[in-house]
Amino acid sequence: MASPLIGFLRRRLLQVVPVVFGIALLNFVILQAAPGDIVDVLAGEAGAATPEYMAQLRASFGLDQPLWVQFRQYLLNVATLDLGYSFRQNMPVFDLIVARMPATLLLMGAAIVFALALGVLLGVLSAIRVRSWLDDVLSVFVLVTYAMPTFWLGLMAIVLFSARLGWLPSGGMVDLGASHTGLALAWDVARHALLPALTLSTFYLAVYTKLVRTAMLELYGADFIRTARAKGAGELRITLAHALRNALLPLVTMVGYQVASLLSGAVLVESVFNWPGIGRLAFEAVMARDFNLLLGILLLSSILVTLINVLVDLLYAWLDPRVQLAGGGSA
Amino acid sequence: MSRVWNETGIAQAGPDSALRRTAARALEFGRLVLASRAAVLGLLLLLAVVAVATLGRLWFPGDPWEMGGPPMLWPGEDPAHPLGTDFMGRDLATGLVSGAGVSLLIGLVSTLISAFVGVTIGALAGYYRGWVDAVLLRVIELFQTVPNFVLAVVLVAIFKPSVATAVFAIGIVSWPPTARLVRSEFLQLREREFVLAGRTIGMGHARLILTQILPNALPPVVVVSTLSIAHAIQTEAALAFLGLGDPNVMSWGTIIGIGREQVVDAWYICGLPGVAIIVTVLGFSLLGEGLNDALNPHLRRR
Repeated sequence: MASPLIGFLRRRLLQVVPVVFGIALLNFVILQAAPGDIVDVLAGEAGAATPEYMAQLRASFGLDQPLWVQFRQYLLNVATLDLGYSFRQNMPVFDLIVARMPATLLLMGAAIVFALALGVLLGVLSAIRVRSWLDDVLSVFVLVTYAMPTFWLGLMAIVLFSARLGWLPSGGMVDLGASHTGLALAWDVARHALLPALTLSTFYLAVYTKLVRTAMLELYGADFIRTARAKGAGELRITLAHALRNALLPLVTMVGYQVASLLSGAVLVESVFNWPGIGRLAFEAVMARDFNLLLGILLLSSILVTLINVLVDLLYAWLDPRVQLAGGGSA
Repeated sequence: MSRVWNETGIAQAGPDSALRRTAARALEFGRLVLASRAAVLGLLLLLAVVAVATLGRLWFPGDPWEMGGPPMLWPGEDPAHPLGTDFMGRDLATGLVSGAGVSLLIGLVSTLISAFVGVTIGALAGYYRGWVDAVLLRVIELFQTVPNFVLAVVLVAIFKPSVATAVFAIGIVSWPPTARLVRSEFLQLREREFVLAGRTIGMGHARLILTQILPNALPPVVVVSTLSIAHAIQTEAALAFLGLGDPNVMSWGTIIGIGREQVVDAWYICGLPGVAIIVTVLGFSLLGEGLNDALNPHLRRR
């Protein structure tokens, strides 16, 4: 198992390289197309600047070089993880983003777990009670949830669960007054994470409910289910061990597709709940017009998506014995 | 109009028989769409939104940014402001009417852009295959890897928030699904007999793509575009909520962003535009579902 795994990882990570190159190119194009450059920004900060001084600054940043030289320099910087400096936050962009990464990963992970667990549960319920009132209620729920803007749902959840009922904190990641440690800290973070994670998960929850329902209904007609039934397996065993296990495969594929969209959703949820992740950082960067930081977030979050997709491929191979790591590579 | 209706289904030979056949097919399709409960409900919801955007202007002709009354009026508290006012005394009904127009405009125009880009890229990739396909597929994958909303935020923030940049940014981030769809349609259609026949009689690439393959690939594009409008409206609202809306235009997202600070005391300021967004998005997704059912009758009732 060890050597095909390493081979798979090496092949898959090599595929990431052109993607990163493409993302860097996209970033560079946006940077070039943007009105004004970093020197204009700096000059604006400093107040008055003579044209001679600005020309000198441009030369020191290499902005007077031909485009391809600038792009080569930009690629070199990206390769050495140098994404520039955020003058607003007084920190290198890369360090800023990496410091915020764990909070976002925690939020995304919790949201995916909620969405998968509840989505599978509701999807199975609606499939085994197909065309019942429960199925109808769940399909209306799915439709409305599709249409609901995540950030609006978050605001309404704050009104209901923190302001009116007072059950959960309305924002942040920890209780700043109480300096908890150990288990108490974990409990505190969990309490703070519950509302944002549930908010972020609702859209995906609806998608998975619908997906699992469709997949289960299709599988109920499949030959191997009929065989299992003929062997005398109970309905519960058929549902869980035969149908559900196979219904999970399209689900994992879907999760892989949705990593990017989940990150997009995190930006909004984090700014609603003041969750200190890269989404909140992006919001702060927008407010401060800190474009360097914003482009760094775009670059690193895209790379994060490709890396998570590698993990999803591994998970797929583990779930479906027919997929072999030594084979084509991408699932 | 009524003359065409009476003659549907009767394929008459004549100089305008092709036109009549198209009209008959369109009517048949229309009847299939109207047979779907989802599509009818969706159309009704959308009609309501269009009515708010147009007729509502007559009712609430004011400037949505103007302080029209006392601040923080709850809905129903004052008949002059039926849906209340925000903390600056701006009338919410006027704001919602303005938002309906903005949402529909941005949703439709940005979807036109994304459909144009998606169809062009998908058609080229699927028709030419080979290295063209390989390169374009990489571009599609790239745009599906980059978190869409983050890219939209970056584009709008850097090119200054306005209706034009929002339309442009939403169009730029939302074309890949259309491109993938058109590509796979083209890959299948280009092997069919009628395309071969066209090639045999000497049609050029452009003519084959535009007059033979594209019309057959368009129906599913209409379905995807309907859903894409729904998504564009949500994206616009999210951008405006983050403060990246056009500073001169009151959209639903703007109102939610404005009401955010007082959400605990006056949840209706954020609540009402949210409901408006849900109704509109629901309308487009139900319509899309109905169109899809009408196009694929064998998939219905699952």
